[in-house]
Amino acid sequence: MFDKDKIKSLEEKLKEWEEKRERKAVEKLGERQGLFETHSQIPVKRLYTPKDIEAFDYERDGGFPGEYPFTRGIYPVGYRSRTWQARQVCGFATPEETNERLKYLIEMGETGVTVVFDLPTNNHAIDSDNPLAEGQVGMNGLPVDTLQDMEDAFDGIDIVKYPVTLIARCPVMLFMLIAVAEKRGIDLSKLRGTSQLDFLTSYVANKQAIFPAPKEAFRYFVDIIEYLARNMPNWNPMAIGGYAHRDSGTDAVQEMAFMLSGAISYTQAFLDRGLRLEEFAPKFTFFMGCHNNFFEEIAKFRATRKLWARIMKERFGAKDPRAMLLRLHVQTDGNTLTAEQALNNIARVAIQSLASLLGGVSSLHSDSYDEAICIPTEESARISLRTQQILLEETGIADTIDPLAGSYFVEWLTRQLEERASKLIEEIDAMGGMPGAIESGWLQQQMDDSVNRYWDAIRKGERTVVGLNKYRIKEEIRVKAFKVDPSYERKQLARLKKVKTERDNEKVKSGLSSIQDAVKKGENIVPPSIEAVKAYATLEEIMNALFGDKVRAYREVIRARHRQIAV
Amino acid sequence: MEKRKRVLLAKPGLDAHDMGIKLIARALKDAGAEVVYGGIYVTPEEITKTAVEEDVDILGLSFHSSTHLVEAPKIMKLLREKGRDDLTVVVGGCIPLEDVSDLKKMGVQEVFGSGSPLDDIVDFMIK
Repeated sequence: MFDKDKIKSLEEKLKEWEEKRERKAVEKLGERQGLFETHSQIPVKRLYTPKDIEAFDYERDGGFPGEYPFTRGIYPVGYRSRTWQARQVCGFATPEETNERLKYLIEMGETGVTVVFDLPTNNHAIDSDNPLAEGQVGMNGLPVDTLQDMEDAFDGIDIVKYPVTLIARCPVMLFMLIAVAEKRGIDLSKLRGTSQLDFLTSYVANKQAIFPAPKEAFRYFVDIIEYLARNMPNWNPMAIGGYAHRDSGTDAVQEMAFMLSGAISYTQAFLDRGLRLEEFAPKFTFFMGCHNNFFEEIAKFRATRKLWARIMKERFGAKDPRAMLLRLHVQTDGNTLTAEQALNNIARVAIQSLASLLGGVSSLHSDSYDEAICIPTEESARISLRTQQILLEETGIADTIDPLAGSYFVEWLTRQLEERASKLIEEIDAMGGMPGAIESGWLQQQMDDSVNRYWDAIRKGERTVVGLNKYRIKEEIRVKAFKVDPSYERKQLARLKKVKTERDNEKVKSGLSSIQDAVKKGENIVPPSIEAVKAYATLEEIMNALFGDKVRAYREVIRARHRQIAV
Repeated sequence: MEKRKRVLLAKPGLDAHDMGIKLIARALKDAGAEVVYGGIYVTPEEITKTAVEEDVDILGLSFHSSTHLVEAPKIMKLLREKGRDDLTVVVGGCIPLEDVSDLKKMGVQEVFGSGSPLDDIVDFMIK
């Protein structure tokens, strides 16, 4: 991009400036103490000049928006033609309460619905009447036991008009939504939406609770992807996650590498099964977090887009550009929020939202300021939505595409992140991809090391968290916490009991044994699973039919390793 | 030489937010305590069994998903039944202020909400 002679003369001038001006000024004025490095430990210099990006080639490294390598965005007109989607998640209490809130959000102008499930459902795939679930039913999301719950949660909601996002790694949630659609007579090819289904992240972020070992679990997920590719062409089968890793403590480079390595492992497994790249790759979506280190986050989104495009083109030989697009949903990072002086989180969320949008992401969930304390109140959820509206409609940041391109620092940092993440991906490749990295415990160790590094710096005061290790005040938490009434648990248990009494148990039994037959014979597990769902078999019954004792056995392995790593 | 304090740390309930408890495990170890890490997803029965078997002095419980008022009473009851209500029990995590007195009433000695300085927690637990 730059003339060689110009760079040479700049180099001389820079040296002169460093000696004559910079050094003297630092000697005279001193320099602020602190860690001048990004969250990913990339050292940050005092000044960046064209010299730092002399190898930068606009067409090779940047390119135009909507064109390879998509550094400047996946859409040709950026936010001018299509603003990002403001997507706030919803789910609590019982299916009936969640249904009311979903309808309210649609009335307020949401264009799609995003549902989150409670811990028994999502992290453990157990029913509400399992003793382990006591006290947790409906507390942090929608409880789902049988198809009845899904029917009630989506009652009166047009699931063709409003795309549904299921924040669930457990595939049974998707089977239930498919059953709802079929019972309504909807042609499955008309269903648009996204299922998270990224089971690889669950081993590390949720510490695995519902699947057998990764290599073994792949078989089931390949079945699902095959079914979706053939029957639901407009559905995004997988939201491949970096967020879960980031929120569990990784840095930006690790987040990129772990997410993309996951995507590589999935791609390879689906290709090995005989699926064509064009059948599934254009339908992948991705999900990252946005942390506090402003420029690193902006550079991260740009670098990740570029890296994914390169991987698809160079490694997998993708021809269709749609297979190279990183369609990215971002959520501001929950672990950056503090319970102390919680209103400060409004500023953090605004800055993280700004970084996400300057990074050109496709959709955004801005956290609510009270999320370090409780699930959002109506007011705090509205403020986070308004934050996005202020950014879009008052600041002008969405008026031009990728406005920070060409910044010496941002381009340099984009390159740094790309190179460092590539190296880490190579390391993971050598371990047999993500399954190998997880099964050996390497990934968990990386994550723990990163957490320790980060919090040591906070503990020593090298890294500041306002209100936490600096500017503390003696105050009580005055934020009014939203609480789910524990009586909803009883209501959900009664609902489950009613379904179990009224359903045809013979049908349930034969549905479950069809699943086990398919598992044994190596046939696709999706059609019998949907049939069992329609017979009102419960989540836990279906999961047991699919995975049986393999889950319990692997859970013990993971628990033992987890205890070992921690101390 | 003074006997090193033995601490059991565990996360009851179904959530996996264990960044905090693992940091505390390490800090306690660095400060000279013997730490038994019980891990995540552990039941009240498993926790009290380990506490007795390992003969610990202190039990630290971490909660993130609002189950402290469900799980903590069960654990306190089991400890009484096993004659180990002499244990110092400390609760930490996402704990609303209005629940602190309820926890203390059931015998929990101290509650450290999110953001409590690590050194304060270590000092209270082993010094």
